[in-house]
This record gives sequence, structure tokens and C-alpha cells, in this order.
Amino acid sequence: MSYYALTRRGFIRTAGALTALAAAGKLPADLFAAEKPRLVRFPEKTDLILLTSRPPQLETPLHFFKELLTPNDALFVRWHLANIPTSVDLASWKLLVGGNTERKLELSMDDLRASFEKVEYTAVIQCSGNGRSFFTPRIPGGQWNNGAMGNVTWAGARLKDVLAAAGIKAGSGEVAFNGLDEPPAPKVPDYVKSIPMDLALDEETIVAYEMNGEPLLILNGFPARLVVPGWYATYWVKALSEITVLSTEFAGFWKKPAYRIPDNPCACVPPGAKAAKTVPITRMNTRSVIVSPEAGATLAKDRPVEIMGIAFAGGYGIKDVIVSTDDGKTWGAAKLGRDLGKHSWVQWRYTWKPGGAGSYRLMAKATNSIGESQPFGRLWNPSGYMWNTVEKTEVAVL
Amino acid sequence: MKKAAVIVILLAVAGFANAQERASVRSITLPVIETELKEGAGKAGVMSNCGSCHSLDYIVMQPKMSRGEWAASVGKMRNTFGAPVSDEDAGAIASYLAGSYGTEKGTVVAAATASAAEPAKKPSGEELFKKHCAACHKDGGNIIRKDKTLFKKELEKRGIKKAGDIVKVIRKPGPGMPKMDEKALPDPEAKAIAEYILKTFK
Repeated sequence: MSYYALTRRGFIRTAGALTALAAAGKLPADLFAAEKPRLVRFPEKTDLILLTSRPPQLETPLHFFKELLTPNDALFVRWHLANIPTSVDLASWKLLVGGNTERKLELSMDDLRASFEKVEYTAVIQCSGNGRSFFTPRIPGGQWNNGAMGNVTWAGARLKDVLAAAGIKAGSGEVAFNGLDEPPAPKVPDYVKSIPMDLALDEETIVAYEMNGEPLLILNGFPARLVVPGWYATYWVKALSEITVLSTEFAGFWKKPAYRIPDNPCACVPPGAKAAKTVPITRMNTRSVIVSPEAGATLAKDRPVEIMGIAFAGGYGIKDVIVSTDDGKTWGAAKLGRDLGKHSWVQWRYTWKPGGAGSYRLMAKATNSIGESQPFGRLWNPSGYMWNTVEKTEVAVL
Repeated sequence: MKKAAVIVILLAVAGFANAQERASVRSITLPVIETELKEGAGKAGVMSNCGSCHSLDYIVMQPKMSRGEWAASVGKMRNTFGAPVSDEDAGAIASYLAGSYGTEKGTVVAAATASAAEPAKKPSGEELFKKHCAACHKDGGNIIRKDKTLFKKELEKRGIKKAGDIVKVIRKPGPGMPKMDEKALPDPEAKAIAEYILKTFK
């Protein structure tokens, strides 16, 4: 069992490094206010960082991202409503498909597996609020670092095939998804999401029943969940129980006012401002994250360091990742690893030989195949979504 | 500075869970993890009002916010999520959060606001039950641990027969129930609640 050492704000541990950095005036003011992360082990999971217990929100420690595929027991957990399903009997579970359809279906897991072609691909799953704790000014909500994401091989039936079996009637616009989780009190809106029809009929939108070759874990949506590759995980409804084809526009709470971003190209507003016009959050922006070394690491001088990280691009494939070890003055190209498809993340590596002792800021910037990249400045939005700023990982060389 | 939150991981009745796969059923037992809140006037109200819908770590993980921001949070819970919190309680809750988890200093302001909000006449056992207990124990049930209800038969099975026995549980509760000491709930009030429970949930 390995313990995760990264604190909420990248706490620098070594006394020597602290002195050096303090002398150089480089420590952020609230560095020492950070609390150490609490590790908990929930059922079917390994030690993860606790954000909340009821409902569970558990963050993946950064070091697990050294694996190309995130192990199932390390994948993050995020539910919205306290009454999550903790027991499912496949002998009686049914996925109801109905609404504006020719037929109503009641699919068992056997039906889902046997009646529809099984497709499989690797896709990044990322919470809309991944990285929220990095925004300044700070934003209330789930205070994730970078652990609300993972890279998983999903397998399941195409949603389009399931809908075809039900027969979509004319005049249909969106498809809504409901899961087995329930609100803790009568007036709390149930967690229901919708996607537009063209996305519902996309080849890649699936009703997944496997993650990395195994049935879904209970905390990740057993027995089946929606997978919408390239879109934020708010749409990836867990523990699916109902799929409803709609003839009117969906107007649920979790589409409006929740999960919305400013309606402009940067999906941003000046820090602290309100957004005049909003749209639902949809496709993921391009990101890279430095996985190793972690913030606060101390490295020996004159020994090469392999800086390693991941990058992903909202469904378009990564063109390049460039790395800087001198606070952005100069940049070099990282070597990209195995390509598991446009929705998977790619690992990258960059060999660096630190010069003298001191503190260094490592940065990485990814660009995707259609030219989308990461901003240097902090783009801000009132809900703290879509964080993809070029981050600075501070390390000490002794 | 005292550590803000002390986590006590309490084992659920069925033990720290591993997944069970018994033929077609897959199930887990979630651990009950408690988060201790900072002392301050209005703490008990926060525990019972907020804790009925979600764990208290939601509060502790937030960045420090201004009084206005905390009040807006409480407003969101009441207006958007329909939390059944009275105006009076909402004020006390926002004051506690602003004082203990806010950018403002001290709980003195919170104490003044909370005591100003308290009613002048002595509340009945029923009113106290509604204020401190009903969020989780509505109609004598238990939304956190479904088997630990307040009905006479259930209580007697656990050796709880007199008001004093109930007060003991209030002071030293099981997993999932916020602890209420004499500061949060003075003895006469705890006794009144206990008597109300014994009288009401047969």
C-alpha cells in the first residue's frame, strides 16, 4: 500500500527547500494553511483522497496516473445525491427504455450483453470540476485537485442500437437518463441528465457495463452507466435505470441552472464576475498534467530526471506536448507514448538534467490536432469548471 | 492552531466492507465517516439541519468564504434544494459558518446573532425535537441507519427505557449521529426531547 504525499496546495516538505524558497520569496501566502489529504478506503476501492463521505466523493492520488489505464479500484468517485445504490440484484435489474418511442423496452443485463453488439474503447473520464481548487479567487463546490479524472477502457452496447430497438418516433429531440441514486429529501431534484439526439445516435455513445474488462464497480455505476467520450462526466449517468426519448426540450435542474458555463469562446468571465449568458457544459478542453515529479519533490542535481505526465484533448488526439523547466523561458518537445485512440489520454516523457541547486518551476502545455491548447493565464468561470491552465509544478534541486 | 477537523472512521454494523458477490446480487456497505466541526454558537443547528442531507465534510472542505457567500450557500440549500430550514435557523447557520469557516474573525459575532435569534419562551420537547432531531428522525424513523428507529419496541431492544437512557445516547451517540454535549443541548432540553420521544413514538 503506497501513501500519497501531495497536499491540497502542493506543500513543499524539505526544510532546506523551504528555506531556499522562502528566501527567494517564492512561497504562496496560503501554502501553510493547507490541510493534509485524508485517505480512506471505501468498498471495492483502494486508498483514495476523501472529499465527502455522504454522498461519496473520492479523489485519485496523482501517482496512479503513471499507469496508462487507471486501475478500477483507484478510479475517482463522485455522486451528487446521498442515497446512492449500494446493492443491485442483476436478476431483477431492468433498464427501461421509453418515452417518444414505438416500443417500451425492459432490458436485463443478459439482454444488454446478448442483444447488442459489444463495442470497446479507451476514454478519459473527467469531472467538470476537476481542478476547481486551483482557481483564484476560490470557488465553492467540490475542492478537487487533479484527481477527478481517469483513463479507462469502457465496453458496452451502443446507445444508438438500444434506441433503434425501441424505435425513435418522429419529433424527438433529446434523450434523458436517470439512475438508481435518489435525493435525500423530497424537494431535492433527482439526478437526471439529457443529451441532444445527434450525440445519442453517435457511434461512440454507449451504455457501458464494463470498465477495464470487469463489471462496473458499485461506486462507479454498476450495473451500467452512460459513457459520452469527449464530454465531461456530468453526462455519464451512473447506475442507469431509465432512458427516455423526449419530444420536448429537457428542463431539469441538472441542466439548468446547474452545469452551465459562460457562453463565449473562452467559457470565462473576469474573476468574481457573473456570466450574463450561459450554455450547458459539453466537450472537454485540452489538458496536460505533470504526474512526476510531484510538487514539492527534491531532486539531486546533475542526475537526469524523467518528467512524466499525461495529456488529452476532448476527442481530437494530442499533436504535441512541450515542457519547460525554466519557468517558461524555453521549451522542448516531450516524447509521446502509446496512442490508444482519440478519446484516451497519452503519456508523455521529457528528460531533464537540472543544472545547479535551487527551485525550479516545471510546466507542460499540450496542443491537440485542431490547434486547441492550454492558456497560461487563469481563465475563471463562476462554477469552477473546465480548469486547463498550464500548471507550474515547483520542485527543489539540492 | 487546533486542527480544524478530526476524522473518526466508525465501523458500520456489518464491518468495514468488502464487496459481496452472491449469485446475482452485488452489494457494498458504505463506511460512516464523521467530520467534527469547530466549536461555536449555532454548531448543533448546523449539524442537524445540514447533516440530514449530506456529510459535514462538505462544509470543511470549502475555501474560507465571506458572510455573504456563506449566506448565499445556505440560501441555495433552502431555495434550490428545498432544505426545510426556518428563517431563524438559516440566520444562525450562516452566522456559525461565517464565524467558524469564514474570512471573518471570531465567533463572538456568531454568538450574538445566534442568541438574538433564539425565542424568548422555553421551547417544548416537541419543538426541540423538531429543531435538533427531526431532520434525521422524522416521524420516529432514522434516515441514516434505517434500523435504529425511535419506536418503543426498538428502543427497549437496546435497553433504552427511561428518559435518562435517551439522554445518554444524545451525549454519546452511535455512528452517523452528531454528538450533542451540554453546551449544544443543555440537560433540561435533552430531557424534554427524551420525554417527547418516549411519549410520541410507540
